Amino acid sequence: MCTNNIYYPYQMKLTEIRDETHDIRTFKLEHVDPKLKESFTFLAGQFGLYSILGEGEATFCIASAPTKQGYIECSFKKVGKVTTALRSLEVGDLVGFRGPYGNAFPIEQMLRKNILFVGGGIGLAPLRSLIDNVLDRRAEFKAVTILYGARSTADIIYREQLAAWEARSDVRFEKTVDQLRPQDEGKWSGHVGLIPHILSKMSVSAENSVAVVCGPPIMIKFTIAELNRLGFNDSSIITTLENRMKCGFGKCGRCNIGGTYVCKDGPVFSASDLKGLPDSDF
Amino acid sequence: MKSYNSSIVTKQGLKQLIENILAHKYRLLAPKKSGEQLSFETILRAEEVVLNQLLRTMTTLSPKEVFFPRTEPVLRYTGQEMHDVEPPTPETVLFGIRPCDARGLELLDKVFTWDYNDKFYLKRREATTIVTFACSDQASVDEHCFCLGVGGDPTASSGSDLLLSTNGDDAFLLEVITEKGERLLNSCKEGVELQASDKRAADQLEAIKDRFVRKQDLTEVRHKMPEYFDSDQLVQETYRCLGCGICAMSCPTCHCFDIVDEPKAGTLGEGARVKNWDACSFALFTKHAGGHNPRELQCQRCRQRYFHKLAYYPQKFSEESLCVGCGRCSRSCPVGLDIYQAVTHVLGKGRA
Repeated sequence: MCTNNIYYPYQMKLTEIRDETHDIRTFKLEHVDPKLKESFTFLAGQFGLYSILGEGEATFCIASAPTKQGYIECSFKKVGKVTTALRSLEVGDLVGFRGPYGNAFPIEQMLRKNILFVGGGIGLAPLRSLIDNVLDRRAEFKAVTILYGARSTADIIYREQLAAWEARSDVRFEKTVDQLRPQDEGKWSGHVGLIPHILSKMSVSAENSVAVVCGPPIMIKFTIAELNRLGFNDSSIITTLENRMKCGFGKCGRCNIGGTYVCKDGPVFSASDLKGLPDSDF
Repeated sequence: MKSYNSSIVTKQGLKQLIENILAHKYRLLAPKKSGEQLSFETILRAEEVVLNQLLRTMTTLSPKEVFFPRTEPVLRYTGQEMHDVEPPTPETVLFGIRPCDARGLELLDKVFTWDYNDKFYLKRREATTIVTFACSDQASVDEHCFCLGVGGDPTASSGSDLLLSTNGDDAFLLEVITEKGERLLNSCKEGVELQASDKRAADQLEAIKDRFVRKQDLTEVRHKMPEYFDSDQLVQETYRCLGCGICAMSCPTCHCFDIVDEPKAGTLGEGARVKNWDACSFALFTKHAGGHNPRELQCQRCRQRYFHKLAYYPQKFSEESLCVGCGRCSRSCPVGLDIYQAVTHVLGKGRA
């Protein structure tokens, strides 16, 4: 093990593989070092750099909840060199991990409030860590509402988890797909339409509420606008960004936006933080 | 605080000092002609250090690569086994950098020690003593230099361990700035005639500031960022950027990097994870895996570089600009882009 080299990853063992969709896969990873397995902690919203020797590193959030100890999970889509290589791994193989990095969802500020989660596509991954965290401490929060949207029924991730959330009587769960495919006719029990549109019809109250949003940039943009219309002010809208990153700790310069580094000052930001950034699309 | 300490040394004495540095087995790096360019090279014989040349010409590339090489391994691997890497850190004397470069190193220190210490940079910094040459010759300053506009000074000692400046035709003023500088001088001063002096470069070189044609203050851009951010003037100034990255490569403070794995040719499963220089002016720098690029246009990438220097870094780390005004980017730019000119235009101060 190496203590003073900030680029040196931990070794983790791949203990479970789940295919979420045709191109999204979830890994369950456990520290090889038993002491680290015991002592490793993180907060919902933090991220890490996952790597394979000879292929490189890629940045994903930690998708499991900090209340689930002894392992972490990450979900990734096959898009480039590293994610393609990760997809070739089998249970028992080693994965490098650096982290946890970044700030976290302000869960303490969400206590005794109504929480509205809005997740789009693979953007549900960081939310899942927080949703499970909140549900594991359910009594400390008021109403919990989850809206999840995917491009089509083929792109839905965490199906088992969604079903479990849907089955709970203390959670309001809504799902939508952008478009219904012909083969889904009669089989889909959710909404059809884009997230901001579905949200507008859900009659959610902004009173004593926090909205937590994650998804593709364009979805975040229009969801924030819709939440504003529903009466949420920018400081009660929380989102998490995933800019391209290399180091994860504020040196490589890649995720810099204005005076902010997404890796260190984020990845979790409020909508008011985002609107103050010069390069922001929001 | 150390009491102030300077001396006059003759040209011959300075040559002796350089010989002693070599005799004491320090690795000596100084500006040296390499093809058409002046660059920091390992010096093996004292006569390779041409004082007039390094006083009058700025190196094409900055000395940052002494501490932050353009490529360096951060770990090595053999199959599934990882090995830590230590940066090579011979005791080094970096001779003949300019005050702007020395200041640039102090600014980089903040980046490489912000919460996480980058040992690759820091260990090299610790092993290196900086001997700076103040811009004390009439030809030291050219039409690209603008350190005065970003809070710098051609005679400043900040970031240096020893500071040299000209003192008449055949002598130099040698100022001890830090204890590290004093240690170097004490270990290498045999046979070097040092005549105590109460002068300082900063006091006797006021006149050099008249050589600057670029004196506008650029630092005020940070106070009115929203106003300047969407300036059409800035787009007009930067639209012709080719995105070649020479500005970042030659800059003493540009520090963006990439991390990639490089398998070793001819082996099975051996290689290194390396840190390579990168630049915000490259189109792929910020492109997300999902296809979205927050800085789609070249002029947006150019703006990022300018404002990171003049507004974002001061906001994040200190009140100082990350640009030190060395002028290397505009000297090297193939299409004549010029941060000083662009920003003075945006500020409405006209052509320099």
